[in-house]
Amino acid sequence: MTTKRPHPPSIAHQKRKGVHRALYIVLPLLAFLYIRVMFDFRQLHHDRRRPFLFDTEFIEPFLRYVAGPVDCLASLITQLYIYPWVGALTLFTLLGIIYFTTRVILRSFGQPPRFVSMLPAVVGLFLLQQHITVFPLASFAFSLSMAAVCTRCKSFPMVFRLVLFLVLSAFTAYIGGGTVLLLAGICALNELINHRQRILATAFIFLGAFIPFALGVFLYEPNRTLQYFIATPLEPSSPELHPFELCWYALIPLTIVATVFANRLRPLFHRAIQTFCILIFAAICIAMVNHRFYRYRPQAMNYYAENEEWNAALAYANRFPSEATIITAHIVNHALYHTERLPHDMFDYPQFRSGRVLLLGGNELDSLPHVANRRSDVYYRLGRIDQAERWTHEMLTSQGFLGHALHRLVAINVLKDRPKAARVYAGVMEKTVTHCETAAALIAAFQNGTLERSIQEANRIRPLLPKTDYVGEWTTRDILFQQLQEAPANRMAFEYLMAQFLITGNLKEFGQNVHRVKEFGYREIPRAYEEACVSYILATGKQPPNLDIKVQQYTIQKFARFQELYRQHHQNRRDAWEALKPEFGNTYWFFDLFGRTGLLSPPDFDTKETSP
Amino acid sequence: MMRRATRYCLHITTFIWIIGCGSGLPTDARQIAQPPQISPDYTGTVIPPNIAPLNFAIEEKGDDFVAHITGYAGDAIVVRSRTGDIRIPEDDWKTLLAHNKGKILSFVVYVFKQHRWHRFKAIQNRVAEESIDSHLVYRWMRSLHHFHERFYIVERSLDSFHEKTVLDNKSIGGGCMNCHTFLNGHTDTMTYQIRSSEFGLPMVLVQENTVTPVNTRTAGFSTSPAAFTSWHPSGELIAFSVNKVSPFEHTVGQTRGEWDDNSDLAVYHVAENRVTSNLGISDPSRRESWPAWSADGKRLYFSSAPKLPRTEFRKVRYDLMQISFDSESEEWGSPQVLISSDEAEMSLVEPRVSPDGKWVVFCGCEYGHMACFLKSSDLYVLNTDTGKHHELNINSRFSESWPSWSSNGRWIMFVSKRRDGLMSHVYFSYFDKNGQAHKPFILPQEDPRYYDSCAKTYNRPELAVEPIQITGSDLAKGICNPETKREPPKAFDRAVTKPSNAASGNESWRPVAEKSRGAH
Repeated sequence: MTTKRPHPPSIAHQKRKGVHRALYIVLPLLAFLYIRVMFDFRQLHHDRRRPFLFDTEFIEPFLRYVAGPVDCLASLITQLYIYPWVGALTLFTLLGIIYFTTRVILRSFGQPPRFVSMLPAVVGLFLLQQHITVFPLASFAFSLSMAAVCTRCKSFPMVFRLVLFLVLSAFTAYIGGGTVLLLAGICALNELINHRQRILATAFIFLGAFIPFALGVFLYEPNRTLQYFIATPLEPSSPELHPFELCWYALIPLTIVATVFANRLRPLFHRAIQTFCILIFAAICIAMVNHRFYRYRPQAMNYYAENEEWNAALAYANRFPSEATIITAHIVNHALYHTERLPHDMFDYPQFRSGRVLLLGGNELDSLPHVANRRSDVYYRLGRIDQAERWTHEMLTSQGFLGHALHRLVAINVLKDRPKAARVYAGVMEKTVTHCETAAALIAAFQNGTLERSIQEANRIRPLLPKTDYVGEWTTRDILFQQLQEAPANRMAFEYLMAQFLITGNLKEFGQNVHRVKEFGYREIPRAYEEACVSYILATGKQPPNLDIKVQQYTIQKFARFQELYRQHHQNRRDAWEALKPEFGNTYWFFDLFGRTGLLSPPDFDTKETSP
Repeated sequence: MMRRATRYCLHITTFIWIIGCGSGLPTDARQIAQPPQISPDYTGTVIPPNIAPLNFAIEEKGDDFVAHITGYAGDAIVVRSRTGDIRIPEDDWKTLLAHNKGKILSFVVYVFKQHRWHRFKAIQNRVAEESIDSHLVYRWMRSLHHFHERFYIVERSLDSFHEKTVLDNKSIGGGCMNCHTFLNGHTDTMTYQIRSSEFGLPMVLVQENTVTPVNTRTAGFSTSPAAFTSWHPSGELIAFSVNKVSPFEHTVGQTRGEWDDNSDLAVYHVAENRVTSNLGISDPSRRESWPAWSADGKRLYFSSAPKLPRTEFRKVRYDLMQISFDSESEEWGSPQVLISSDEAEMSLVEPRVSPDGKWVVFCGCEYGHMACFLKSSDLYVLNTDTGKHHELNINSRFSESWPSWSSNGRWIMFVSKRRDGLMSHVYFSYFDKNGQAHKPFILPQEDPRYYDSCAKTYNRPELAVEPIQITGSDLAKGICNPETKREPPKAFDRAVTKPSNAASGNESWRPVAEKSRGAH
């Protein structure tokens, strides 16, 4: 008997193999770099961060509820975003798990068309950038891994498969929450298509629905919907249900069905699926680039403010003026103060007529994200340390033990002469991912008795602390006035107070206080103040009291032009807006007339005639 | 390099030498005349014979540390540490305490520094004859201001470091839970309050591990829910306060303050599911709060202050009051001022009666009703036999609050901010038969440096003589189950007229006809 010798592989085949091997290295590398570039990890860390401490007392509560373990992992991952390469590697690993497990699952249904296995990972990447947090992504990856294990055991007896499903689904329901439904769906399809076991398939579906219920006996959750759908697009606490998220979940069963059909109808159907996938990839790439570089991100201003990137904040506010909100205007004023431009250029940026802009007062703002952070920041810098303490604690309540909030509490407690309490917060900070080194330095400073010196702004803020106990409901004007009264050299309180007068149109008090510019080293009247002085003179017929700096002739002439132009269009406010905006959109007079700066979209006009 | 090598050699030599010594103690140590700095401060105190090991950190500079703990009887304990963290083996500690009830325990600390051992003066603590209750139940929360997110009611075993979460507010869909109170220290009968947007504001009643939410507001007594409660020793009545509290901020000193706009007291009859009250404990012209039954159940202690507008919050001072009560006839006596706030020149709140009924411990503070927010708050005791009160010598310059008694009356547990001025921690003090409290000690923790990074507040601690049997899951289910909810029938009418001396906006009441009460 002669044995056939196998044909040696052709050169073309070997070349193809070589190319494939190279692609196995190049493609993941490209994917990793793509993630690194397409995600602004520092921004993502700011927007999506969840607290995480290396502390058993912190981790233990996560183990007490369904999907808590994945939630805990997701919290750690969001903290790792602070190191962009680590963040990219973590996401790449998660998406890699999704890709490989999808591939394993699909292979148990036949040879999947090229690119199909990549689809869930790529869509997940897209959703992660815009709509979902890493929590459902991690849960999704975990559930797919369990499903891959189940589908790989297809040659095992039915009883074994049933037991395996029971164990893995209970495990998945606890670790990953509602994604157990996905596991049940995949296993049911596996039984139906690969084993023709309709009864077992139906049992898997029922068990998938029953297991979260049974788990509720041990880990009670009053909200049944949450119990079933935590970590899925149907989670009730999700702000809105995005159709893409549902499609993402539906992708796995769809790709399974596509694989089965593609294997039967090759090659035409195969090609169609591949073309479809390529189109989806292209669309996702375009969407991600657009989102990364051209779209307004609501939290960007908060990010710049938190990182004290004041010029970037101002540039961003002017780049997207149509998106401006009260928070934007607040950050703009804060940034202008820090760049020493508030008395000069405040009307060059988005501004609203609102008494709450400067200190974000009012209970209705409490629920807005990052309001606590901004309030904590502004009160701290103003020297209103107790208010700063209150809002930093509210930050901890709403956002958990985040490094920067803990750092602020260290500073506050130092200023409140409670070094041991500062040491406690430094101790907690030491357990964070992001601020552990700073904390170690602070603890060392505490031990050496140099804690106050190691807090950057403590020396500046200490003289600003009030000595009078003001208890009551105070307006923005009251607070700023009190701060200035307590510390007459409080430059921020002065500039904010003047800004408050201008924003609220309180010319009378503006005029009474503008003379104090000299106390803060101004030799000329800053531009915005000067424009308001002209209005004051027009309204009262006299110079602001005690102001011995003259208003420049240029400003008076400019106001004359403004008046002239306004007279021409005063019948129609819309026309007046359009006519005045190009030259005077950044003046106090324009703001006073329309209640907003020219950079913003025009208000709803009525036809009533008004005078400046 | 050479220096480091020399140091290692010395360490190795020392170690071999210590092993060779048998007792594990350095013998050639230089004597230091003063005791070492240790944290927490477990020096010169009296400890219960059933307390968990007093693990501590030696705050002296050194490369090696040894703690030698000895008593009158029993095996000595030697703990060696490179970091200065002394973790005492639990079993050895228990044995040592058991052998030394009523005796002195001596803690000798050795520190190796500058190439030789130093022996510090011994720290001495006395072990009391009387045990403390086995468990402590407290509310876990962060130092919070207006908003809250996560709370736990936690049970801590006092003879070990074991802790378990009794109830997590996540399991009742968020919201607040507070003021757990046990019947005579037994955990199968307890109450606590829930403030939930989903499940209402009930007082949760747990009896023989059955959970019943009680909506006390349906009785018409007040639109405010029950807050501070006290079980009548018979277990048939619960005195509760209804408070209209709101937080505010200062700009100097302690940031947070709390204002009680209106408060009254009432009694919930557990078996009959009804609410009663009396003008003596809910005078429309005054604020009454902090109910506490006497040990025999014949008197109710409480705090009472005149109604003043919010702008005069610094003038609001509570008198310490008592009123007699006959639980059979449900007859109330006349309220009596035990200590007048004017005479004491302080606000007297949070009274708790000792199990023998002889003492009432309470907080005295500059003004107001929430002692934990007032730096000036200190602990006092009133002798009910003589009617005289005195300040306990265990106070600090920071706030002391939430005092309570152990079931044998020999231990006072309270919360103090003395450690850092901000966070509340639990302290225990031995209260001797002469009415004197001894130097308190902080709740021991397994990690000696635990409090260095403990940013949580121990709120409303209560001692219990046994662990809580009911599971957190069952507690949560009981609260969330609308079928178990009790709604006491309407027993009060809001009076249309307001008393002339009452502050505007405060409601008065009158009981409705007796027949509606009997309907249940």
